[in-house]
Amino acid sequence: MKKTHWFRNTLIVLICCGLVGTILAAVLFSGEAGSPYAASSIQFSFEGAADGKAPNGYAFDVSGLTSDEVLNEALETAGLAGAYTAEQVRGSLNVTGVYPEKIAEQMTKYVSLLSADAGTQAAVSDYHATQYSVTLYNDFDKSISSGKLTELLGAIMTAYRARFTKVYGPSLTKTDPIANLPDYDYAQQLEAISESVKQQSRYAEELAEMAPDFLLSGKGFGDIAVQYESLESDINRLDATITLNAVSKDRERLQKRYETEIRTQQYQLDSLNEELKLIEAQVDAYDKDGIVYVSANGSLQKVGSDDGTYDKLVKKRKEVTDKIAEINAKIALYQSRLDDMTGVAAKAAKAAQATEGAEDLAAAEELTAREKKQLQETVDKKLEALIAKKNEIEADFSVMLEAYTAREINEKTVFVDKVKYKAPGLLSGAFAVKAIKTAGPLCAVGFMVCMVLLIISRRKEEKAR
Amino acid sequence: MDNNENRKDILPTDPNRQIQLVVNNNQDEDGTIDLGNVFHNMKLKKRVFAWVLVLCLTIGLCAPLLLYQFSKPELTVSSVVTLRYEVPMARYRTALKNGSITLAEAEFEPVSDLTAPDGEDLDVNQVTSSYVLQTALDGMNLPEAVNVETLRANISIQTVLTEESQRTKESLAGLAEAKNAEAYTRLQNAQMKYQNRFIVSLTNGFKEDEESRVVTEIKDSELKLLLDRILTAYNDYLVKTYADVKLPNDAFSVIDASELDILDSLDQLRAGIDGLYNYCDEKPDTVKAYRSWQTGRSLEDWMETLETFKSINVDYLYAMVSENAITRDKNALLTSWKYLLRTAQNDLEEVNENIAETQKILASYKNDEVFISMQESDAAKSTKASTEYYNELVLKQTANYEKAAELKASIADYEDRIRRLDAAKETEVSEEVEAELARSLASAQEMYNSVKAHMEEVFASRMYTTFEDHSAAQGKLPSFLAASLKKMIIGGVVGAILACGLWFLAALIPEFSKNSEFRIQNSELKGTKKSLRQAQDDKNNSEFRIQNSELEKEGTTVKRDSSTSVGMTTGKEADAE
Repeated sequence: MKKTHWFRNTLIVLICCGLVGTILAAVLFSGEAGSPYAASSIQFSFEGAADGKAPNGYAFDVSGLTSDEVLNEALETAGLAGAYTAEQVRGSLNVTGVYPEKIAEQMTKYVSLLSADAGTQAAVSDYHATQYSVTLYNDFDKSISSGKLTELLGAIMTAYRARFTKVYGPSLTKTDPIANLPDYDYAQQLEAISESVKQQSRYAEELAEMAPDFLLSGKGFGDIAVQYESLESDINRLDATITLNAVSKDRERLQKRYETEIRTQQYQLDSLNEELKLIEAQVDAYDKDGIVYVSANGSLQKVGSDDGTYDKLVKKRKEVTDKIAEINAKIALYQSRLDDMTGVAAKAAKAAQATEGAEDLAAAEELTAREKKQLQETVDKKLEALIAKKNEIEADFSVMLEAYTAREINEKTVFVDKVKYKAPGLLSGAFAVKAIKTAGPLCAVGFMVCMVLLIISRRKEEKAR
Repeated sequence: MDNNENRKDILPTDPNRQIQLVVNNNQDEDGTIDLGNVFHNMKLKKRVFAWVLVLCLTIGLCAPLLLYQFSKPELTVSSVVTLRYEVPMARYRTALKNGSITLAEAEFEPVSDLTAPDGEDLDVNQVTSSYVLQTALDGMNLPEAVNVETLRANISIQTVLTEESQRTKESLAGLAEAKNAEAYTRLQNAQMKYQNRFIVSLTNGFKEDEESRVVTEIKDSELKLLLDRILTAYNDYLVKTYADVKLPNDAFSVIDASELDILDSLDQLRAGIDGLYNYCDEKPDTVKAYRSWQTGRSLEDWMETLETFKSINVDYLYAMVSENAITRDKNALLTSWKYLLRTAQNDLEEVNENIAETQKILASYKNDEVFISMQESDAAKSTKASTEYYNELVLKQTANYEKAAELKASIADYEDRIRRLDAAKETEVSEEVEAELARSLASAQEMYNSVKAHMEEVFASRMYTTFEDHSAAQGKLPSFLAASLKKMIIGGVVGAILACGLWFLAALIPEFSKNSEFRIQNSELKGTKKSLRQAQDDKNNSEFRIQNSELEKEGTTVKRDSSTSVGMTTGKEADAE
């Protein structure tokens, strides 16, 4: 047989083996291959994402992507709400963090060594993925079209981004926790407003600390805090007017309220003072354990221990004294208000004035009914103005929060990639790998057989020669 | 070759032949193979053996790849789990174990070892608990062979020693190797400390039972996802086991303002607000500071609001009602308060007795005295050590004082109420008061709902539900070619050597054949020579006998020496012949 024939024949055998292997791979692949899927990815680049922190500073993860809220909203948007449930879709949704090769290598090294240096440990366990691949497999309904599957995943990504903005962006409550403010007396109204202003001022300060560089029309969160501080001074001024002039919708009722409060607080104070005495005696009587350091073999050894009982007693004493101080302050406050109301303060001021021979003070005079009415009207107006000012600052604050959220969470900082539909067909990389793995051994065996036959033939030729 | 070397003297010394192989060690028979001939033969056989070389090389290169296909190593993926919760400080753990204090009384610190949130040792094997594994498997479309049992068999957990403990272990292990008895004892007693992290590994390849030969494999991505889900389920397990997810009690919906007297309703309302406030106050600072994404408010804000609401609303109404003795049934209310006063007085008596008894014990209690003898000198030092029980008593006494103070304040309040109600003229409950109470109750209920919603959000937040943080499952098998590269190189080299060996042998065989032919010819020649010699001898003998018989006839006898062959030819002559 001629040499060229053998090359040709070998080539034919290899091609045949390759074909058989490919067909076999195709058969096996059709049995093993997964469902078609729609894939996308989401990338986070806001500040703190690499540290696993959300824009609001708390821990962050992508589990919200598979939450009921997101899935139901996505099904609704895609018009599939009646056809599938969130539970069905969740089972087919796969979210995987994308980790760089280096981290994977470090991880493998760490696992194999178990005593890696601190740097490696930190890198391995503190690494937070900022990119996640999201895959929606079509194993919940084989009949769903590629377009619908793609649309559904797109809707999921959109719903998640909206939820992300909502959940991780700062927000401000629009309603006051204490409703029906006008029903309350002036002092009470002012107390409620003051409390609300203090809370919002604190929130603005927190945000100013978190985002000192954020400015909207030249103003930052710090400026909002300053506005609230200014409001607080307005409140204090109005409080002075109300308290010193005993302006009230129901003076008698308010007076009784103060009296009751003072009385109740006094009972508390008495019992706490008694408790303090006992605890002080206990602290004095407590004998702290002695500790001896023994020098042995060049090192000091501690004998005796302190379990902190003495410190706990002292701490308790401090708690009681703090409580007493708090109650004293309350009593003093209510007492001063009561004095203002009953005119004790005015009388005292008058007496002082008489002693010193100074001119009469208008504020210390007892007000006439008409003046009282006028004062009430003034306070009403001032209160209204105060509430309007508060609402104005709140509106500014809300706008600023929205702008801040838009800066922190937008299409760039939460980037969603285009959704692609993929079906693991005969042109996919997965099939190529499978075909190589199946046809490869067959081709190798076929080639070997060809070689054996060629050798036998050549041998015979040799012998014949 | 030694034998051949010993026989150098008999080797041919042709200067034209540089290398001569002696292939026959037989002392009687010697032969040589010419390597030049061998290579010449190899050249002649190249048409066959070049292909043998190709075949062997192909087998050598392909065999490792085929072997890899059939005995592929299983992928193992691993993840580092880092614990992220707070644990009671070390000094409280013994007291917690004894039950002498509760968790609420302990101080907390971030976990730095394998301690559970309740202060006990953390059982990391719970990662393989049925609950965790089944939760992870639920919702995953995996083969039947991948179940709780097979999964458990394929999971391994490795705890990580602190650097200090690692060094201790290594040094003790070194001593133990030297068979040091003290080292063994120290190794047994050594307190090893672990880091607050451990490694969980999951290996692919699931066998239904140990004897089964069928191994079910899942995709690498599925394996990684499965490990991730297992660790997420483990976190859920920790949250369910240790996290305080108790919502506040609704004390407002049970207040039946239409049945209760106004002051009773207000008392319950105040108690409800205090309860809600205390519930919030008991939460850790991190929980208190959490801002809701729905309202922007924190628990601290709600606490302040509760205080303000109580002050401006409930207490305001209460003051009016109590000062004006607004009641539906004055006598019934008085009776009720008197009963409550008596109960409080009884409680105070009991607490006072406890205080007195504890004081007696504390006064007579003798703490331990510790004596320390000094090795260098005969002097001894002594110190006093309070026992755990003594310290517990001291703290218990403090708690008693606090309880007594509360009761005294409560008694004083009841006495005051009774005195005032008794003295005051009864006022009927007006519609206005009822409406105000209803508004207060509604506001309190709304506030409770807000706090509850806030807490639900906190309990569902990642901040509250992260008890462990695990890295993404990592693990990778080397690629098809990279894994087999070394074996392929070895296989190729072995194949090439084998093929070359075969080629060389095939070229050597003809030389062997030639030599054996030569030997046959030689032996045949020797046989001829022998027969020739025999014939010559016979001839000589017969001539000798004829000569002898002639001599006998002449009377002369010649003796023949058997050892001397007269007229025998030498070897060389024979050869020449």
